[in-house]
Amino acid sequence: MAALMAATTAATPLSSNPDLDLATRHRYGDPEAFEEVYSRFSQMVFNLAYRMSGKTEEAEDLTQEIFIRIHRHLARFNGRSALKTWVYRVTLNHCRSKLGRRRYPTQPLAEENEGEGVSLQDEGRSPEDLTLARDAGRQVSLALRQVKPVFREAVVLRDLQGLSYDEIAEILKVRIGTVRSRIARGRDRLRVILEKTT
Amino acid sequence: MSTHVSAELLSAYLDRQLAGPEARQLEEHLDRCERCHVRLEGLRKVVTHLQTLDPLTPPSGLQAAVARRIQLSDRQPNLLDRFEQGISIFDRQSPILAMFAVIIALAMFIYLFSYALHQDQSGSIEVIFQDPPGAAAAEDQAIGSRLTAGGRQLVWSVGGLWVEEGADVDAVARTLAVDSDEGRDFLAAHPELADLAALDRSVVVRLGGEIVRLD
Repeated sequence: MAALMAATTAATPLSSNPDLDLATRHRYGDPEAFEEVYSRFSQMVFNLAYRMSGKTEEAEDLTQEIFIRIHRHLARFNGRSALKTWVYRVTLNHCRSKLGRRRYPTQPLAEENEGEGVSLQDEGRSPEDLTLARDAGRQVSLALRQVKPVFREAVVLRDLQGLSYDEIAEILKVRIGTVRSRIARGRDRLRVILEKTT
Repeated sequence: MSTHVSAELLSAYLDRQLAGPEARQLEEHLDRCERCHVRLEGLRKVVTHLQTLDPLTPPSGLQAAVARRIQLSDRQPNLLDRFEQGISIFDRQSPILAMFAVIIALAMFIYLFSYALHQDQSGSIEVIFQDPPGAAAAEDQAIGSRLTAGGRQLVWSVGGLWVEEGADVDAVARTLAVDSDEGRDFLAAHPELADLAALDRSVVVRLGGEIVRLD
C-alpha cells in the first residue's frame, strides 16, 4: 500500500502553486491531500458556518456537507484564486443555499447561546476575565444573529476571520465599495443592538 | 464637512481605509462633532468585541463523520455525478469513445428525421393540438397553433379556420361543402385532401394556382 501511495505521489504532476498541487494530488487519489485541506480549513469553515447559522449542531452538519462538496469538487479547483478563497466561497454558497431555503436565521436575542463556552484561548485567563469576556462575547454573538445575513457575512469575514477588504471582495465577488458599505452597515446595526441591550 | 458623517466613512476610518486627506478631514470633524465621535466609539467597541471573540474548535469527531459521509456518498453517486463521470470518461480518458457517442447520436437523429419525413409524406395526420378550441375566446388563444395534415402545414387562424401556410384567406376562389355533391366530387378528384376533410373543420388550401376553402 505504501509503495502504491509512493508511486501515486511520484506520478502526480506538480506545479509551482501549492494549492493547485493539493488539488492535483487529490485528483490522482492521494487521500492525504484532502486531509491537509481539512486540517487547514476545518476551523475556518466551522466558525463561519456557526456564525451564519447561529447553532453549533447546525454548524456541524453544514461543515460536514461543505467538506463533502469540497471533496467532490477539489479535483476541479483550477488555481485561478487562492484555495482559501475557493473554500470560503464554497462555504458561503452552501450556507446561503441551505439556510436560505428555510427562514434565514436572524434570531431573537433571548435565544440560548450554546456555543460560546468552547474556546481555544480560555487557558491563562482569570475566572473574572473569563466571565466578563463570555458575557460580552455572548452579547455580541447574539446581536450578530440579528444582523441581516448579507451584512453579517461581511462583518464576520472582516472582524472574525480577519480578512482584508480585497480578499472579501474576491470571495463575495463584489466591488471594494460594496464590501465597505456592507461591513459598515453590519457594524452599525450591531452598535444599535448592543446599545439597546446594555 | 458640515453635516454628520456616515457609518460607512466611520467604519472605513476604523479600518484605515481612508486616504490621508480624507482621514484628516474626518478627524477635524470628529473634534467638533460630539454625535459622530460617539458613533465612532460605538463602532470601535463593536469591532473590539468581535475581534476578541474566541474561535470555536470543531468537535473532535467531525473529521471522522466527514470521512464516513464521503465514503457513503462515493458509494451512491447522485445523477449529476454519474453524468459528470460519464462526461469525464469521454473528456479525459477516451476520445474514441466520445467520437463513437457522437456517431450514434448522429445516426439516431438521421433515423428520427427520416422517419418523421416519411410520416409527413405518407399523409398521416399528426395533430399537434389534440383539441382545437371551438369557443371564440379559446380560438383567440390558439391562433398560430400548427397542424400537419395530408402533408400540408396548416395554421389555426382567425375565424376558426385551418389555413395552409402561404395561402391567402382573402383570395379564396371557391368554397365547397365537403358533404355536398360538388364537394364529394371534388374530394374524389383530389384524394390527397381526404385527411384535411377528415379534420371536420373549415380548411383553406392552395391547389395549383387556386385557393379553395373546404367547409
